[in-house]
Amino acid sequence: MINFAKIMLRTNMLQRIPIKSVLLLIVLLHLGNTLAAQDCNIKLKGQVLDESINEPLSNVSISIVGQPVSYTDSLGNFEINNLCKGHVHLFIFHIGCESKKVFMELKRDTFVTLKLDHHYHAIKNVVLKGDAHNDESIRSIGLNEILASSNKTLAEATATLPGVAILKTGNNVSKPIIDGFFGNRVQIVNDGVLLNSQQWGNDHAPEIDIAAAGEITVIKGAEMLSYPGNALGGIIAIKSKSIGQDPHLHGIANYFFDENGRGQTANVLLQKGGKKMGIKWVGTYKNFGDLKSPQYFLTNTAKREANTALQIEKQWSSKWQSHLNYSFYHAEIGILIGSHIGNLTDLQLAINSNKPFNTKDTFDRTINAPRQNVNHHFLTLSTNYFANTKNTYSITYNLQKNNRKEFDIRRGGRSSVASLSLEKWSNYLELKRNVQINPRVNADMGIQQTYELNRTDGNTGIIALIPNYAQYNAGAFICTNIRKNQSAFNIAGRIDFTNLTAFPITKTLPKVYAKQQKVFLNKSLGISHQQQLLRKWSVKSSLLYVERAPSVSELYSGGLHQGVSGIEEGNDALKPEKSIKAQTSIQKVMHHHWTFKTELFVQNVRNFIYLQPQQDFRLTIRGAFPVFDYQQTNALLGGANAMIVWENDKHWENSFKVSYINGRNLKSKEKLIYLPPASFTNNLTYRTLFNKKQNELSANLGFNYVLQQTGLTATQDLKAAPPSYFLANVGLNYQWKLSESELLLGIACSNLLNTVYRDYLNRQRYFADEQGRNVQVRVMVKF
Amino acid sequence: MKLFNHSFALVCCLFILLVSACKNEKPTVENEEETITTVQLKFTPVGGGQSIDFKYQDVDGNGANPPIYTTDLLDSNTNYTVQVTLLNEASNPVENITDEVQSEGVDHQFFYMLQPTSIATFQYNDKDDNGDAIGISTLCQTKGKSEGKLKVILRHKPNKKAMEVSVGDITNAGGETDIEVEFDFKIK
Repeated sequence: MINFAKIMLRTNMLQRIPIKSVLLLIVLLHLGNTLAAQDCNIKLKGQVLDESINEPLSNVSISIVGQPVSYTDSLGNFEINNLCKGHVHLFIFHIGCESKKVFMELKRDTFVTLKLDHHYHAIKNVVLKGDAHNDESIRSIGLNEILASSNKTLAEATATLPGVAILKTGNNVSKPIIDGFFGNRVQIVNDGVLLNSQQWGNDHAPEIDIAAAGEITVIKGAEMLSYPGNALGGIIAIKSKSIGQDPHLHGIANYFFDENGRGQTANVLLQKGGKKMGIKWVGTYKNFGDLKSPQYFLTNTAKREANTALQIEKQWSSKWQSHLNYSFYHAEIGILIGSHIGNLTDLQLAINSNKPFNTKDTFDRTINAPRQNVNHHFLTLSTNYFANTKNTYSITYNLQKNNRKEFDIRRGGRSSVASLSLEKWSNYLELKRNVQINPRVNADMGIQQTYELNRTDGNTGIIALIPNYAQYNAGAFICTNIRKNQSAFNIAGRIDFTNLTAFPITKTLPKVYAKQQKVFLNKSLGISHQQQLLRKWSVKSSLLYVERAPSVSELYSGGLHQGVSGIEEGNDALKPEKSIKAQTSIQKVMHHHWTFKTELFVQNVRNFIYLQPQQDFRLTIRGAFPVFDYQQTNALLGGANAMIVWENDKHWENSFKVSYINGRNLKSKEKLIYLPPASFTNNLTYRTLFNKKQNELSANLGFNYVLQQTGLTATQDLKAAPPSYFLANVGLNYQWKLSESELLLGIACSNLLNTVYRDYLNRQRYFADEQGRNVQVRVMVKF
Repeated sequence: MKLFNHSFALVCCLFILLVSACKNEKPTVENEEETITTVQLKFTPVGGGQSIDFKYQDVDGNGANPPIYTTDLLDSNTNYTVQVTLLNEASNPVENITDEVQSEGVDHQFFYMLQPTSIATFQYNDKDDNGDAIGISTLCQTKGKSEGKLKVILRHKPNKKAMEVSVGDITNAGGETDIEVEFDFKIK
């Protein structure tokens, strides 16, 4: 997506017009009316600054169709003469930056200040902004990275950020882990609204197509409390970019071929803006066959995905603005056939087998049982009212429908009948007000209501693990931003009322669905403080208290959970979790070349909910099964991430990351399971320009070293943690800038050495090796 | 502000409408047609005589009441034909699951495992459409007076071509366990 800045021109002389845009700030200055603009005699002058350090950027190419290319000088200044009155597209290009297209209406000689986010590869927001959405605890990936990974899942795309890891069930199902938390404790916010699906299952991936995203950020500070869901770990927020006012049709077409799995991914984005209305459409199709580990095919790991998204923005008047977002996600996912096991004996056999059972010797695209079929509809209608310079109001309504079907290998021709089929509806209504109390204080406040309804399909022939339920949630929050000189405070609080009515099956005879009701009241509080010590030092700290009500799965699940080969029993006596988290991040920039960043956190969770394996196995006709009960304990987690980035002005960039996390169950004194093991990542990039600085070549070489997870006792897991492993990857991209478009060709190879390894956080590690070498070819056209 | 009030009212109405439209009803308990509650082994002496029944029964399924085992003493040095019957007694009328397994014979195989292995032998006495064993019918030959355990396993989608699977060794069979029950095995 190209970022089109909004430009408003007024007739007043020497009028300064600030323009709001995420990555671009443009100030237009009227240079004097005396040079009454003749048709093709307009001068456009400007300066380009590095957004993060506010210093001029030299050698930025600025082009307008039909004009020779101009470059900024050492002071970041440029000048283009002999322009005609009317609409122009400015094409701004700089090595290592995301290219920008700016649409503007030229009426007279004009001066523009353009800010480019030059450090997007490294660490953002060195400069103190004090804005809730631009602070240090928010880390994000931008459009270029999103486009480059749009053949991957949301979790894989965000895992490049410090503190984020992935919990996988095979290669097709992955969910993000933030600071050691996942599932119900991490929320995904799409377009400002919580994704409401079945996130309780470790084998349930979030229903998000990242190709429609403009920016993906991880939120861990106090501003997290302006969203419902009481995320103990953090929030992953997906934002689509504003369409803007460019009245021309623009688009992006992106195609990937992955050799491993013979996968094809195609994305198309089309958009057309305007003063009154803008419209954008995104479509994605993915078709992957069986993946291959270095030594064998991972039979039945094929996948299909078809997604579409529509965004409409409408400017009713200068004060009124509405938008509509609709997206549909559809996925059919095969689950490794060798991981489908019955009782404990089967499990032991499957674990000890050196090749997964039923592995085929040939490549296959068909998806057989066990498989998942997921459909998710997401509709948002939102209206903003800019009442005056101080007050903005907004109403947001959202409707979601999630349909999840899981198919097992069944007898009697029932493999085509889902063994788990859930349909969930959710309704969301939000009223929000933003008020600028004074130039230093800004507050966001709102009320949010969610009503969700989950129904299980009565025709599966199996009692569903999750019962039918209805849940109503009402929440209110306030989030205040206070700026003072070189520091900023963010104080937030929220309160949530939850009323849950569920129909779980009784554990005693006769088995019936008995109505159960639960009411919870949760309070959360957070404070963040950011301080710029010296010019290039920045420190951000926050203290958060969050309460989370137990979810339906934790309270009432009952039955055999195939994915974990165990009988899971909910516990209706669970109390809300109460978490206190203290975190700090320190960042230092040295001579424009070196950036150091350290993040530390410690978190204590009272009433931490977890699955405790029981002493006795339960004997059923299918053999013995381990029984897991939901229980509560107190848990303590702590971790550190460090990052060192070195940049050479022109060509080289190297980033090195280390992350470590540990957690303990304070009652049993055991280490918590599924914590990411310590890891080291290094990525070296070389960039250079060709052909009058119009074309860019970039090459990168990356290493990833993951240590073996330690400290777990033998009874905690089915199989000991896999040994440490080392992976290498390379990539080469060449980007052509044509008169009105861009073309990118890329080739990349992951797991270059075809390493045989297993990852601790992949639940398929009990049965199979990870994916082997993959060569990927990519073509992208932007116009 | 008027437009705001109007749209606010509209959105609220929409929310209430959808909330009230979604009434949650108390569901009825599913008929779990795939459930097997009962495993019967009928031991009939080859030369004729009184047959002996082994039975495992767990009508209420997972949890609740524990399963009931019924066994009897077998004669020493005797050849028996053994016939398996699988029932779902939780459904009304009682369903015979054996037929379902028989008709999907290529996807199923029973395994009979004795502990200690020397007290008797089991031999497959039936074939699926591919000519591989199913194990609904077997021949059992008892040895001298002894006591042990008999484990009966039914595998769904095993690899019948894997090594030793055709002679009743489960090690390389794979697949998913549909039944795994263990009886006392006593020879008088």
